[in-house]
Amino acid sequence: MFKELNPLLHSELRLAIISLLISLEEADFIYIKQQTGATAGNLSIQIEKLRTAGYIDVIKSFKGKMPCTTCKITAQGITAFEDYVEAIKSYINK
Amino acid sequence: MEKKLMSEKESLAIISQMITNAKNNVQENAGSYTLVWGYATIITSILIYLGWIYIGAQWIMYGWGIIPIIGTIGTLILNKREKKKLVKTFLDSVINYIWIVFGVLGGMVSITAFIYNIPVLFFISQLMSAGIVLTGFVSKFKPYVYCGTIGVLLSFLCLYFRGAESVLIFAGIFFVTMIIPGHIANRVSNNLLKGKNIVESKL
Repeated sequence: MFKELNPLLHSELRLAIISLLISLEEADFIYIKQQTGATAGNLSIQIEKLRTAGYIDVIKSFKGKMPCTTCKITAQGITAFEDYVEAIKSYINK
Repeated sequence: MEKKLMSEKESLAIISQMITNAKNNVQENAGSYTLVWGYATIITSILIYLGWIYIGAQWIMYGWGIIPIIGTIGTLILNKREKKKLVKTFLDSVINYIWIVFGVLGGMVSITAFIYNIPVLFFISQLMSAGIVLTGFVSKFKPYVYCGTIGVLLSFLCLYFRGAESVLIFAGIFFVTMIIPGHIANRVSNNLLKGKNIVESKL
């Protein structure tokens, strides 16, 4: 029986964001934008969706006079990612 | 990235690509902290040696306090530059914790040496070389492992030589343990970044 894929993670950009954050302690918005190749607007929307779901923490601060957005995966986000990978495995091994 | 329905293989490809991207995160001038503390120790050791030979007064030993002063100023300057870093890895945190522990231990041993007669140069060179070996193991950077191990072995010379020459040996240990691998780390990280930029510019 196939496991249901988490619809929140089964999106190209959101999955890319979570996959990136799972390997890092924290990452700046600019870094995520560079790595995913997404537009700032789209990235902001997807980050907000992940934050609302409790999968990532978003810390807004200043580096000197420049505003800075840092993202960090939460324990809930790690569990969701692991469940998603398990679900994907069940499809691959069919 | 466009919004589209993904197959399971595409999902895995994205996961794999992003994890690889995160792993390929190379820091510019990766050996800078090692070099700052290494040069701070060597410069101070040479000054102490000259003071010991030409002045010979006991107060010269307070000159060791120059190391944390230069080291801390250098670290603060590097930290300020590092604020431009866009990402923090788990490895960064592990290395920070290693050096907080070894730094505090080194400070405590140094303070103890003003109260009790202990072979402080031996203990400090052992601690710092061991810190370098650990840093090398966790970052999988072999020059740190090799040079740190040589440093651990050379530090036993500080038990045999107890006169002014022990200060020069101490400086030599830091040259082997911190300066050589520090410069190698800078060269390797900068070459990797250069290569990465060339590849990215071709894409």
